[in-house]
Amino acid sequence: MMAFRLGIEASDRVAAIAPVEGALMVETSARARPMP
Amino acid sequence: MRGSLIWRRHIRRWKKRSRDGVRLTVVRPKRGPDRCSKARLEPGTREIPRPATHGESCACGTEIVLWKLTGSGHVWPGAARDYPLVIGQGTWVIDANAEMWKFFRNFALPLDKANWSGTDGAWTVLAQSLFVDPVRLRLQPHAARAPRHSSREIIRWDLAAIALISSMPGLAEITSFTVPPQVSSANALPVILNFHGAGSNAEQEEQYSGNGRDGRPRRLRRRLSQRDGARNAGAHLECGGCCAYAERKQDRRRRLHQVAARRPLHRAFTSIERGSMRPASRMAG
Repeated sequence: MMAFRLGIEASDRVAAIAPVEGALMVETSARARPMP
Repeated sequence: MRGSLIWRRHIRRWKKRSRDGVRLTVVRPKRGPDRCSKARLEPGTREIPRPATHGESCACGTEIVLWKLTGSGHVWPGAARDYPLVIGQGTWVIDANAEMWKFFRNFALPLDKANWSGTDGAWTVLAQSLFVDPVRLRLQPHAARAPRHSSREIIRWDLAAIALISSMPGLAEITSFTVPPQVSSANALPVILNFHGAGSNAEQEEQYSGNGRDGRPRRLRRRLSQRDGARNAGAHLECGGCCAYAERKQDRRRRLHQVAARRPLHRAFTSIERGSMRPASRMAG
């Protein structure tokens, strides 16, 4: 979940994320850029 | 990475939120999900299958990759299995470490974007000194120590901590890592934040993932070194157990310094991990 949150809320600081387990339970607006 | 109905839904949501054209790649091991789940491939006889790829066109250069490993259990792919009757047999058909790295190395931010300093937006980024004199968390070379990539070079790393404080209440994260002095705009190094998750710690992560706890050569580092044709390339340091263990333990701190002093750095692979998530209450004030 932390990886998802960083991917959404810090997409201008994080290049990419790779969640292995865990649910996408973050409800926020669209991220600043498409996140790999 | 592991596939399931829930993950398929997550991937669809993630792709939708990315707005325009994110390329989606679904990868299945060639041996098939049922066969890979049996974990008949033991360490040393591991086989990397040629994946079947189903891609979608993308103009933005961004990609989502979903590895589908059905039946391997709650086990890190490519790592030693623990309690197989409880959490599953695991699989060596792929190595999650290697696959992640192959994925990450395709994406990089401009250095000015990757420079985690100051305050911006929803995430407040703080640089704190926990081990040595205060340092600003900026990717700048150490003034007195010009980089020379020699395996015999003695390198001192400046240690800092980065705290990610969300604007949403109740969630905080602090991660300790080193700022290698030879990093510069011309010599950027990747920084990988590994969130073990609650209930896990660095020692368990070492066992599950095969990453090194104290800089000893382990599987991922060895493989990357072989691929890049450089021995002793990079280092991977586990700096403690749960809840910022390394921050409190002098012996771990000394050991970290000792390992950092004798390990060369290499662009290919340098990272540090620490324990699992720190309770938000510790961030009070």
